[in-house]
Amino acid sequence: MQNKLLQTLKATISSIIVALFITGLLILVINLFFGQEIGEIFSLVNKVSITIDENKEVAETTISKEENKLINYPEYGTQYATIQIDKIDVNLPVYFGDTLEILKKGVGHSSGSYFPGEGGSIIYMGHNSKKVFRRFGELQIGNEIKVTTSYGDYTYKIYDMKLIKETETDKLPIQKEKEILMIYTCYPFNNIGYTTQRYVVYAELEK
Amino acid sequence: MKVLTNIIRFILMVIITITIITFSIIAIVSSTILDKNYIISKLEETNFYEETYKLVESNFENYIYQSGLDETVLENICSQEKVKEDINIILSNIYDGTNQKIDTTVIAENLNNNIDKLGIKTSKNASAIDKFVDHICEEYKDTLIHTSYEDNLNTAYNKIVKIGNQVTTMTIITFIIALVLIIIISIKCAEKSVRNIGISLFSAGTFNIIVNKIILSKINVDGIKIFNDTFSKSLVTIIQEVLSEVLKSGIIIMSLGLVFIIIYAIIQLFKKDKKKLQTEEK
Repeated sequence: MQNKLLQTLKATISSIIVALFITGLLILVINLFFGQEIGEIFSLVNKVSITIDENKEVAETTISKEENKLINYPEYGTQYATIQIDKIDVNLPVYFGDTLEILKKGVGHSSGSYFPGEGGSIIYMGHNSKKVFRRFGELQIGNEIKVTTSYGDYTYKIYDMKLIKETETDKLPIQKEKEILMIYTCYPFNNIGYTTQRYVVYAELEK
Repeated sequence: MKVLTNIIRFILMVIITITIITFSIIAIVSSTILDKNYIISKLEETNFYEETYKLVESNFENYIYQSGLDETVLENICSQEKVKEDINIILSNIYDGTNQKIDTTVIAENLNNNIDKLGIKTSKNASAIDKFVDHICEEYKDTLIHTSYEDNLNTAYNKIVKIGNQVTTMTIITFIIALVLIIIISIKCAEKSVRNIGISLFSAGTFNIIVNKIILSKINVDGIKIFNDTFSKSLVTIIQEVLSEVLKSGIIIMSLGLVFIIIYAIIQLFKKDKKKLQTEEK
């Protein structure tokens, strides 16, 4: 009986070996003739495939006061601060980035500018909607703007307001000699349709 | 002569294996990606219509903040049913070759009515408001699905179906010829045909399983992002299901092959016993 079982097993295994040989042969031939094309398809698909590391810990943003530089910058698209302007009842989240999706949620931080505490130009922007900066025109020189971040609180005092064209980027200069907060929104505030002007508020660090 | 027969038998087994693989892949693709009803069922399963409706509304909001208009003008200008109807129109254009256009008249009418209710339209801003309405209608079309690809997709679909039909016919003919030949070659020992078919089935099944594993190891299917999250979610579900069908078919075909192989081994055993008995009797 045991011998019979062994014989059946032997016959089965030998057939399986032949089958596996055929499979290997087919894969080898396909790889030989179409390997490059298949590799290109894989890399093309992987280009639109994003790997998200769910276990990745988000490092806390802090500031090095000696170097005037942030340690662990916030991730693009995340909220890192809140902005408070009592004069026009504004209390909004500030996000790192300036995409339409971000501006829908609150105030955007231009990714090319410095962060509060770094001693340079900070550029914020927001829509001129009721929820955001519709009342921007009511602001006056001397009004305070408070920015609260996870690494410190910063208060700025408005010293100037300007109306600029959307193309006049030189009116929003990036420098690292003095901490200046520049916030802009579309102008006219209650215009319907696309606007080509921007209302900019300039504020300097108070304390 | 025996060597030549074995070589021919091996070649026929390889041919049968290829036809089984081709047939299984065509069957899977035809019943999934190329089947409009399957796609509709997957879109429903992944809440594609609902999510697209939310996306449409969210994209409208992007414009409202830039326009300076009050958010209330967007209220009820579009419905989930309208989104579903229009997505199905696009699917019909792709799969059935219909040439229907997305009609945004209702959206424009509803939007204009809401703007009129606010009483803000003047001769000065009328053109800006009209432009805004046009923008919203265009945004709606763009969000649904990238409509400019419809014609190309329909052409590709028709081509694939045509090639698929030709390949299926060729595969069936090749399979039958190879099967008949393998039976003829093994006419003296019929159970060998069972073994050869078993080997081909086992080999084809193993191939499908290995292909599934290779694809999954080379591509991060879960992370595929195309156009937007809503579309990607449905696409990932469909790809995962197609791959799972490939694996499932592989396991079934391989098991079937194993059954054939075992049947052959048992027949061989009985045959040997019979032969032994006959020799002893003599």
